[in-house]
Amino acid sequence: MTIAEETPKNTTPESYLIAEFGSINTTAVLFDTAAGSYRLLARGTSPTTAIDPWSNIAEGLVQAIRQIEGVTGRTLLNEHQQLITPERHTGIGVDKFAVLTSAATPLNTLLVGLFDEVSLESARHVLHTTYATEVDCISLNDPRDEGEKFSAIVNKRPEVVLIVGGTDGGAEQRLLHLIDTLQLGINVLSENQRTFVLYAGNKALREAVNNRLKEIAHVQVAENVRPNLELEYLDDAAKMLNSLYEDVKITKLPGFQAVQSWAGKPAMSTAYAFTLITKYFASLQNHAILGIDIGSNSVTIIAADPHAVKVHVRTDLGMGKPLINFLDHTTPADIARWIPHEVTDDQVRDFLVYKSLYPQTIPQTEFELYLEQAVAREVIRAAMPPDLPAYAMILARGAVLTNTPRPGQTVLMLLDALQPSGIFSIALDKYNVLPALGALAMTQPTAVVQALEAGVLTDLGWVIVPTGKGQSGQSVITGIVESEQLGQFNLDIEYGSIDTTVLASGQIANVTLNPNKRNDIGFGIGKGKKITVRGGAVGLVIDGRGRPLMLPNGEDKFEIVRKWHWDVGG
Amino acid sequence: MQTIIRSAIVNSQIRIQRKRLLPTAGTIVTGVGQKVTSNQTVARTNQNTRFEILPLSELLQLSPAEVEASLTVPLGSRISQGMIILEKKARVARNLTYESPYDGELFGINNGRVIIKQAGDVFELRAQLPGRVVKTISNQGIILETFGALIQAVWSTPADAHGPLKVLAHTPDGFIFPEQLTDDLAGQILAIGHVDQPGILEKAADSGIQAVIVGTMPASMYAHALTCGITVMVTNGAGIHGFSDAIFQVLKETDGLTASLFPAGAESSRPEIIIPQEKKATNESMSPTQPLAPGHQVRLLRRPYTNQMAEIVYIYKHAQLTTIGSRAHGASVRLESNQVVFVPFANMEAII
Repeated sequence: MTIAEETPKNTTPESYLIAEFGSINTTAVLFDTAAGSYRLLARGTSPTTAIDPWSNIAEGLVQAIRQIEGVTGRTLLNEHQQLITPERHTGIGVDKFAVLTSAATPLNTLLVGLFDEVSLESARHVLHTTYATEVDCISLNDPRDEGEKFSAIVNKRPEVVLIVGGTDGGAEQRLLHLIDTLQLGINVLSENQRTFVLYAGNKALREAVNNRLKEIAHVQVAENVRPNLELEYLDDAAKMLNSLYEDVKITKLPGFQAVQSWAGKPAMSTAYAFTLITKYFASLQNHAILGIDIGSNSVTIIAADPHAVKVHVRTDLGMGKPLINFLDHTTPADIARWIPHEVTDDQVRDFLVYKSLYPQTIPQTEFELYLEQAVAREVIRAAMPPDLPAYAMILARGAVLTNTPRPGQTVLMLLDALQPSGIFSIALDKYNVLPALGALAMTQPTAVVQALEAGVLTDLGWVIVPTGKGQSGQSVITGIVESEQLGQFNLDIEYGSIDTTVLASGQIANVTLNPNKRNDIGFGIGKGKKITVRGGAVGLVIDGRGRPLMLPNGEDKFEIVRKWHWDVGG
Repeated sequence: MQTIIRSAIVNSQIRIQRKRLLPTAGTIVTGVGQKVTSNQTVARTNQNTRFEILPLSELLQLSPAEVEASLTVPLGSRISQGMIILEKKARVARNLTYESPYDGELFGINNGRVIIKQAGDVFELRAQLPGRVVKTISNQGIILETFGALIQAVWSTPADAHGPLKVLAHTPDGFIFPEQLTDDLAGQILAIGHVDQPGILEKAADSGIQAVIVGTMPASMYAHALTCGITVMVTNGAGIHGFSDAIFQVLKETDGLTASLFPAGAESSRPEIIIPQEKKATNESMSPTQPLAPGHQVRLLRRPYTNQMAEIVYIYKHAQLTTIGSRAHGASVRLESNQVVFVPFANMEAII
């Protein structure tokens, strides 16, 4: 290398390479300024190499980076396959590098709390904010004797113990008694490895808990998840549990230390980064946003508005390994109902097992495409938390949603699975960059805005879904579309149908909507409005199938489901 | 640019290193360089340990310090039911004593509560494979080296198995009827292309068969396999396709030899069938981490080519359109029928 090559450039904003290690694929994305604005320059993808025969996540990452080098002509790795940082005057290398991952196994967590219905329910809500699983639960409802509880602690070997219980200023002795048992168990565990304890219970007991456990465990204290019976406060405990996932699990990924040495900052979980970007969108647009990430080993659903965010991570669901147990959550018939032709229960069962054994595989026939998309619908349905608030935009990611042959299939999957209502747009993370933008948003918010403006997401279009009932063939909504490109035309949507108006990306239309007396599009029953919508890969979609969606079960069921696919261009 | 894809080892004669690990920390009872037989114990540990907690401070109205000072046996001692484990001298009245209600070990004392550790199940880790110990992993296990055939499978029930291999299938997708499972097959490991009747697994267990290796079985059989009482290993997946040709070939070549079946776990991310043989010249095989190249053999994983073997013809630099209209990175492969088709990398595994 010459001196010029070795001299770091000193300009802003900085170029960023962000690696995301998923359980199946590793993606590297390069952001830098081009033509005056910050944008996604290139991305590379390779299999994640965390397990044998590689057992080194760097192998897959190097291949992904080599793809970026091939596309951009920019050298990023030196002759020893080490990342060149910071970026040199000659344009080689990159200023910053960051790591995101969902590839580590979930955090094995033991819950300790007073009652299942109150504090432990909140503890489970905390668990669902990151990649964590409950290995056991010790509470006052627990019928086991003290010895059995102690044995469970020792034999289950939790990586983290989450203690909750007691409202602030409430009862103390019963929780302390449980902690005495816990202390005995942790004492034994500490002979091999120190356990992490996160205490998020009655404030008055913080010192007592710390005094009992500090010599034998790493104790951290979060705000009480149930400061009183009416209030649930998860943010602090959720943030700390997520940090524990990052510290305890991510750092154990094989080859992680070498990769981490390229980055200046600790690695972040994909779920957390996706939460950040969803929240960022909510603040930027001043609307409620729904983020959905259907991965191979987990499903993440995020509901964010400008003031609050709710995260729901399910590690027992996903489009890969968890499918082997998916019939615990649904039935073959519920999956088959979304497919426009005959499929037997055995075909559905075989598919679920096969896909769980080969989670990286993708459909190559129409039959398996329909089957995989039908499974995705039910996986999302199973993962949905109750009482999702209304939202103005869906941010969707995950291979089953982004790798569809036609974008209408993605829209239909989301409409069928979420069964949303009202008026909203859908943006697809086709290039797998949203979590990377979440990581960037913390330090370079302007860069994120520029990258988004440069079209890093794929707009699928706007969707209007009236709620209400009707009869087949009956008009549920009428309206007028006015657009510079399309001119003016009338809409008349029949109950049971989906209407798609082609409105290309970048095109704008004014739409006057008039729902009938039994339907509501978000402004009250029968009340209409004139709205402005932007086009997208699918266009303007009006879903007149009613809510709740009634699946056909008559002789014409395949014909109807097939028509829904056609209606959205799927 | 290099392309790496997932791989499966299916080889009739290679050098094999296999970890044998305890489920929890324990004691290693073999040393590096030592030759071991299949049935030899290489490490042992205790499992499912049961603990009893005696709240003596509360029961005897003593302070935690008094309980600790009055113990008659040191921590770590073996104790038996009825044995006096605590005695506190009294100046006037009779001495205060406490007899252990359990057999076990005086494991610990904490805040006036005494913990007794009862004997758990002793877990003996057997080699399950003849070979030489090439490394010991402190408190956890060993690495064994042997020579022979190795087949990486995709699913298995949780237990190891060991016994003579008997290939009952005449074709890769061959199946059998329960009546064919006779008592003279007891102790053997059977290889059958596909199994689609729960009765076969039940009959196999009743007949004393050690394990069943199948190419594929319908999804509904997986739950039966977990409860049938014998080891069941699946090499290719769900359905009735049976073995891929490469796997069937290795099984036929090693028919009659002693096989060891290992489930996936900390030792390997995939279940494995190992069939040790006399050391001969090992087959030339590509490294599992070697980048994909034209000429390499792959097994195809999804319809319409499920389970077919193919040869890489051309690796595309950019994503290609698949027959259903999605785009994917992949390669042109030559099927056994000589037809050349595009297959995404995601839907193939290199056979090495």
